[in-house]
Amino acid sequence: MSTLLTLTKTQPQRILVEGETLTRPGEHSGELYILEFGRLAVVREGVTIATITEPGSIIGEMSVLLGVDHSATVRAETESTIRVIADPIAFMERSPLVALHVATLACARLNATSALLVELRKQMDVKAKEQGLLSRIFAAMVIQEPKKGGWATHE
Amino acid sequence: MAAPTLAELAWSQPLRTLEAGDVLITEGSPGGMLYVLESGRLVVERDGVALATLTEPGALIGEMSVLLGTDNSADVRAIGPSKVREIRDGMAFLQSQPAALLQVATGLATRLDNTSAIVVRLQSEHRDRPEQHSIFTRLAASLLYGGPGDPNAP
Repeated sequence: MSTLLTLTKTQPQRILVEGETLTRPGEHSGELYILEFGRLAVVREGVTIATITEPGSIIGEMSVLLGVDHSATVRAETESTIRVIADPIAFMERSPLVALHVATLACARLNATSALLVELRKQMDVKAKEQGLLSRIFAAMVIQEPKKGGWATHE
Repeated sequence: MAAPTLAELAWSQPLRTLEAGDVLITEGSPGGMLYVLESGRLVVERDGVALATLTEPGALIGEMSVLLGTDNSADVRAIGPSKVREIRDGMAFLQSQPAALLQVATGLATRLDNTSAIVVRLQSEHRDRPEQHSIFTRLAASLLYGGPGDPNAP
């Protein structure tokens, strides 16, 4: 997604030193970040759940879109440079292609999960199937339950 | 000022009326079209299994095929008299309507978030059952970074 770097060229850069923390759970920066280069660790409850190294990766989009606190710690594992979008909703309204990237990314994650779920359903034992565990997950993936709060709510 | 809803943004698009039993989308058919529910009841099915019922006015249908450029991944059928706005070129509509695009992104994020919440809960409920627990762990990973295999993940 190197085009994201092109699309956000005018946004200020920030340099993170090794070990520096970008987001913390329970905090809400309201900012969106794009990795220019470096290596960021996503840490939840002390466990590294992902490492971000791909230039153009987006950080903080769930917090921005849902208007909620960050859910994980993001920390620089090496010196890293990021672009900071301070007012991301207004920025995306002016730059539909950036909004499109963000939406497509969320969509790809849902799609991958859905495909995995279909595959897992075949592997699961009969008892688990009877409990309807996976159907609860399927329903959550398909339906967008209206939520209070956030930047825009459906009436 | 409140952001306009998807139903408001799509008001000028052609309205299509469905009777109970009418099929709106067939699994495997070419995607690219967007529908916004105005009223009624639609059921989403995959492999003949009902995944969800859509009743909320403004509910969006077809956005995954538009964004990912894929075929439709589910059947969508009316189970009562229903009305939908039909947007023939979903991508052009979204690119010309940043507010709609943000609504779509927010909707997708909400679904990811709701799904993650259920998966995390099931993961912790099945801590003592290794087979189930590993399934929910894989699902959680997929929700977080979109693929089963992040080679950098522990």
